Amino acid sequence: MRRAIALAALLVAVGPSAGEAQVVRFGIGALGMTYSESGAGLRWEGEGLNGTLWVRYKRLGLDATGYMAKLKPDSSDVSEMDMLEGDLRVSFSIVPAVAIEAGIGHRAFDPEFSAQDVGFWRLGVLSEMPLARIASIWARGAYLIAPKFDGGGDANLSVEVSLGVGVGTSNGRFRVRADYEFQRIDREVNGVDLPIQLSRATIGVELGF
Amino acid sequence: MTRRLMLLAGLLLIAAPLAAQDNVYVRLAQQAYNDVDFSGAIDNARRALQEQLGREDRIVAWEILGYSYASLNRREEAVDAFHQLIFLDPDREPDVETVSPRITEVYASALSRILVVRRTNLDSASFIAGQGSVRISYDVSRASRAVVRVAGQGLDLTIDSTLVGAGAHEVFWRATTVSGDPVPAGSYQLVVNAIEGSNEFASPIDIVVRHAAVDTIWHLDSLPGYQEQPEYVRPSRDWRPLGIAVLYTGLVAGASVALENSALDVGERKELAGVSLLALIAGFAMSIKQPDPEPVQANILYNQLLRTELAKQNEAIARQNDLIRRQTMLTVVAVEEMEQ
Repeated sequence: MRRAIALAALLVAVGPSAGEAQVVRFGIGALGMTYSESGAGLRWEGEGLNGTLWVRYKRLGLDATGYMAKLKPDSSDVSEMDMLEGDLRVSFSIVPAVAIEAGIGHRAFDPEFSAQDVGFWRLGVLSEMPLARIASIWARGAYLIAPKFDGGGDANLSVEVSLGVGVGTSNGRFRVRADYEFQRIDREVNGVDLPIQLSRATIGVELGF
Repeated sequence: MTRRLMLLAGLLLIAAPLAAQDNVYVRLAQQAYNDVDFSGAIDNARRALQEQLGREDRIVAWEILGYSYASLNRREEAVDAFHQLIFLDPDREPDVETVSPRITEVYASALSRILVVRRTNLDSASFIAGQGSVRISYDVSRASRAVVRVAGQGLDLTIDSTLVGAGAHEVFWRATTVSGDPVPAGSYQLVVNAIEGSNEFASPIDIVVRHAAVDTIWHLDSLPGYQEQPEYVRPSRDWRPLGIAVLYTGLVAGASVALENSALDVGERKELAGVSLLALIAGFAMSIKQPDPEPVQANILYNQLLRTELAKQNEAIARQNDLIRRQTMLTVVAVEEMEQ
């Protein structure tokens, strides 16, 4: 997590000057999510906030997102918990609508061990298409490399897909953005399947500079 | 009887009405000439010439004498009278339509014996100094050196000095000084001098030179025959945005449903449904929205070319106008024409 924040700060520091076109956006939004773990009985739902940083410079891109949510279980057997997550993605556009993307992510829960904290690398593809001059839609798919869990174990299959849409003003100063993200991590500990699954929707506004 | 009638008819033919005059003898001479009493006309004209006459009376008196002597076939006396008439008014000559050929033949003979400049004329003209000229025409009665000069405003410019034969001639004056500058505005005298040995005759006319600014050229707003093309064209509305939204939403929704772990409780998929709905709404809205105008590169380049060419032409016009503002429009007019 610390590494992600440091990388984001560095990219912002060396980013374009304020005189250039809107290549930097800051955003804030609300989220709703469902988190499932271990078995059919462990499912949490909740709401929270997220913040985004979006930077584009020539063919390079950077997306940094932080999430904070309070999750409630649908069973009285487990307790409520708070989730804190940070994601960082760096992209390089190979053709106008397609970019390769790499990054890191980390998700933690409070109280400790109420759910699995996980950290991972990601490698994937981002495709973004304009719907009009003021709107665009994008989709992501990534493989999560070598997830690490605080409870131990490893994962055979770890993937994520996401969908986003943004509509803003023609000068790029203001944009409304909605994102959906799905994550599946097939965790296995000592031959026992303890899968993790996350489904998250965010909606927020962004200001461009 | 027949001979007398023919003589009378002939005399009537050679007689021409002359203008009414102030001096009594001139009037009597004129009356006698009109009555075909040529002897009486001669007597009265001679008497008149012994008196103090105005210029017009003297001209008429000598004219009556010349006509009467010629009518009486007294050739040498007629020639003498016509010489006097020619010196007094070189441009006055018998009208071939109304007087006898005998008179015109004697007049021409008289004219050929003396050196005069006649019909000196300047055609009024307006032109840019240094780029045009005004025509000056004159007749000389005998071969001579003709010197054409313009004098006035402290200048004395010789326009032409050349040997000419008898007859009509013309020269062109650029109305500039020796250094090429336009002559100052004001009154001048145009003098045509004919010189033949010790004989010399000068024919002056008054002329006026006026200065004015030369009209400048208007700058161009557009190139004639060419017009700018629209640089942005709004494309026709289509369903492409909705199609893209359906494609992306379908791919992600399908992938996420397919990737769901059946061992876990997936819930109501409300996150997926909500964002997918928003994406589809955005695609639909962008499809029904009037599309944004798109740049037409060919038209942009064409317009740039037009503007460059227009700027070049306006620069050329500006340079031409700079030149024009330093130019002077000269108008040269003969005073006689102005009075008319």
